[in-house]
Amino acid sequence: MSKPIVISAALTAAALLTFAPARAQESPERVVVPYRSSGGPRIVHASLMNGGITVKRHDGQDVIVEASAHSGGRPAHSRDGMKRLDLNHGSGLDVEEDNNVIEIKTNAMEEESNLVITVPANTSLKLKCLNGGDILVDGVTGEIDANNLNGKVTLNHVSGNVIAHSLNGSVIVSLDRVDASKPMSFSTLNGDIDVTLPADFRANVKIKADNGDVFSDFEVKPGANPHPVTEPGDAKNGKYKIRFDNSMTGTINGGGPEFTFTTFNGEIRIRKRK
Amino acid sequence: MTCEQIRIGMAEYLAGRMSAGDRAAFLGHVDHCEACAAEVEEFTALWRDLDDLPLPMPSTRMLPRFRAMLHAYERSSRPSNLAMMPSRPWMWGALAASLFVGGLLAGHYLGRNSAANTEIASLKTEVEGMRQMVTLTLLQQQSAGERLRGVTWSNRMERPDSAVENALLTAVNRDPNVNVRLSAVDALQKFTANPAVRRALVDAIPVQDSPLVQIALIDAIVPLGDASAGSMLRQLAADPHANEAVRKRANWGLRKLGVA
Ligand SMILES: [Zn+2]
Repeated sequence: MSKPIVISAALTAAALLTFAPARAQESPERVVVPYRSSGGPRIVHASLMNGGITVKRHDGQDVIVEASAHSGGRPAHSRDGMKRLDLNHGSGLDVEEDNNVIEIKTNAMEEESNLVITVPANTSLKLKCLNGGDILVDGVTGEIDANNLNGKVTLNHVSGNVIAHSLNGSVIVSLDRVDASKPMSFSTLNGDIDVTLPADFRANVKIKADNGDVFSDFEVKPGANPHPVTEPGDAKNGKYKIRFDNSMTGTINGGGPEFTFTTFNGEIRIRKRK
Repeated sequence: MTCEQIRIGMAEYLAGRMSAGDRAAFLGHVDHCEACAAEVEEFTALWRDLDDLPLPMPSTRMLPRFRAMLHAYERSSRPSNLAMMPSRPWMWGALAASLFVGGLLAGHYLGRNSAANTEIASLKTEVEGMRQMVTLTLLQQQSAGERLRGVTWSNRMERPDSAVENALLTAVNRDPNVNVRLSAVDALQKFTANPAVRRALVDAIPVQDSPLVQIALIDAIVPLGDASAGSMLRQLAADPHANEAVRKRANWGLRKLGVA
């Protein structure tokens, strides 16, 4: 069992203030969490009050966390021409590692701060945003758990298994490869769900859309009841348009783990990867 | 082999204990049956993962029974089979189940006496017990993906017990992940014959911080036609702090129940 490492970003921020006072608009902080040979794949947990989270993949083994606290569009100069000094409360970036689990938080309550996290290809993610930011992940393989309150969740070219929710934003996911044994779940109250899956993926699907249409490129073989009506769709939305009371179950490619799609006010699109 | 025989032979197959002939018959069926292929795939992955999962000991009740069964088996049968005894105590349950399923097969193919039939009946209970253990173990994992898996495992049980009911209700009320909560509400729909579960689903609505889960709870309760949910729904429909979609759904529920 390794001891947790606490990396304080405050020093980095102080250094930036001393040596680069010109950077009044934005004060990025950067923390590198080096790879430790002892562990398996990394798990990254990040949560933000204000702002968005972007996760990118790189070929290296380090996890790099960059936070930028914006000055919220306040002018760099006062009305009579005086330069505003950014006192830089910073983003309050706080990064901890314990046994290959990396916890990332920011303590900034009012300033909007955006996180950019660069990770090795095989990394599991647990991401949470509350206000004003989107969650964007590109090219990562692992278990991805993404939760947003007011912004979008977009996962591009990810593999593994996904659990994604946004209350008011859309959930847009494209999966290159899926873990054939694990259930997945996509949900939103007010947004759309748009999920692209490999042509041969198998699932038992549960689809619930109270006030919107459901489109699918896959043939969904209906389960017991209620009986949905499948109509021809169109080129833009998908091969099939599925109508049903407000929820249905069925199988795709013969059935497999459970995939749940839930939206109250939005539409659902289940696309086949071309 | 039939689909039923595939299901029965699953544990044997996974443990690599099938005879070459049975194995060929097993794979012959699976090659042509999509449903069985999907089940084999899921079981294979679970089998592989079981050893990596920490055991939170929900099975304090189950484990001694499995152990006892294992010892009984040890005394009575081919000792060579025990060479592949797993290191983790958790695996004993799975192994025990597979041994019993092995007993089932023996009963089927070798035409054992009536004692074997009694054993078969108890075996079925034990396999069901194993499913419960898997569900309870998964529901206590750190990863939302594993907990979601636990919820969906509960759907496979024919007659889930109160431990599973409670674990699912706890998930509805306390799981940090919205999607796990949603699935738990869905899984609990098959328990709503139990008035205590119906009550618990109604009580979960006001403490729920996710509007989407609140709507799922309303949708689970209203079709049961239980007018006692009315006062809760009326409260919700009038609550200015409740999400707009939730208020609308509560009004819909009141109309459906005929108590608007
Ligand atoms: Zn079959």
